[in-house]
Amino acid sequence: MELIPTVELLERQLNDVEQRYAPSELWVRGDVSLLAPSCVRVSLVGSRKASQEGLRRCRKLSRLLVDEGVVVVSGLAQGIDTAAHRAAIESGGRTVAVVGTGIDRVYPTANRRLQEEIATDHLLVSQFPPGAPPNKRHFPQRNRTMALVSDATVIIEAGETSGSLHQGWEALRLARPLFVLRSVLASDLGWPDKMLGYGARVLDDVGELLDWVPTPVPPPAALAI
Amino acid sequence: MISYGGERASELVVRRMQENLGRDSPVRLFFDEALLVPAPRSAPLVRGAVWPAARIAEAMIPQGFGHTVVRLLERVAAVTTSHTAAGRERPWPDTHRKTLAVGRDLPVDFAGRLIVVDDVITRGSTLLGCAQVLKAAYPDAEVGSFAAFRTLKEGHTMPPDPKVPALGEIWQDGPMHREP
Repeated sequence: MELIPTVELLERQLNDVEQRYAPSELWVRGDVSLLAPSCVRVSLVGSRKASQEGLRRCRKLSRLLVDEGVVVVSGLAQGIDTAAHRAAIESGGRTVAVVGTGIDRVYPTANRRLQEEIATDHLLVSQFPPGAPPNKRHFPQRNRTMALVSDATVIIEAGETSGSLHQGWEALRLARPLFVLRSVLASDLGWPDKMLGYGARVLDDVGELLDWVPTPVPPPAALAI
Repeated sequence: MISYGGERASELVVRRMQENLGRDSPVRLFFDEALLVPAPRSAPLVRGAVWPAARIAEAMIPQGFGHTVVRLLERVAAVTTSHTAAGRERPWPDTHRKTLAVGRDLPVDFAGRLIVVDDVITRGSTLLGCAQVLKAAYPDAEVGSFAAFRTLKEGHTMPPDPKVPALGEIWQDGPMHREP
């Protein structure tokens, strides 16, 4: 377990908009190279109590992203998050879990083995000090950090009060691409239209997403730290 | 890159402008005393969000490109983003015109030069739509445009010297074409 400045992990300076909510340091376990600019990272987020169809879509998208060499980022919560991490690992890809507790805590406990596997073979990240218990104020903060470390975010399935919406708004604030699955539009929820009005996009094809994320190249020397 | 690197990336862009332009380049005269108007992003801004065109414009002023940045234009409804859209899906100037609002920060008879500043030009629809809105609001103003980057088709190369940008037929509408 290490505490590393965020700018060192991301290998670049943060702009003032990013700095507003960015933790200055992050606790990490695992392969920190997964946060380097050479890796393209996409967050898959959504409900803890997702539908079977939502979980299926999440697993499929996670696999497709892995096939394209993308690192799958999620929050290690139940439901969509767990499906995203597991599918990435099972298809031979890399994954980053950004948790809302201390890095040595497990929440939910059902994900103990998955969390240990991610910390060992992938990357586990937390902005909260070791020992920090689950706290409902921490999860929106965690979602902002996930948006910060991700080149794009996809909301797979989410209700009106889902914590993943915090990440959607933060992605828009950071001018990072935000996608919602078309299946979400079929619901009578209000948030998808609202987010589309602020620049979110409907995702039909993983290729559209890849058009929006940066090519994995090192930043110019003037931006490197 | 601008949205990732913030002001540092914008400063890098403007530094490259300084390096690429000769001392007597007509491009410098083009910016002389002009008010820089950032082109809005393709969707309304979430409160406090990154606005790359505004960052570039603000970085240009201390380097002598333009007099002041005036945030005159605002996007009130989302449009497709040009540089990632397929050709047929790119918005036309009138699409931009209908989704932009213009502030009344200047006197209606303002007769100086307004330069719309954007980060990337694809075919020029955004810049033209912005220019049309400005020209309608400030008919006596001279309206120009500038973009820090342009998309290039495979096999095309950048001309060695930047040319003084010109809007040409400002009220043009429909599918746009840009050379080079």
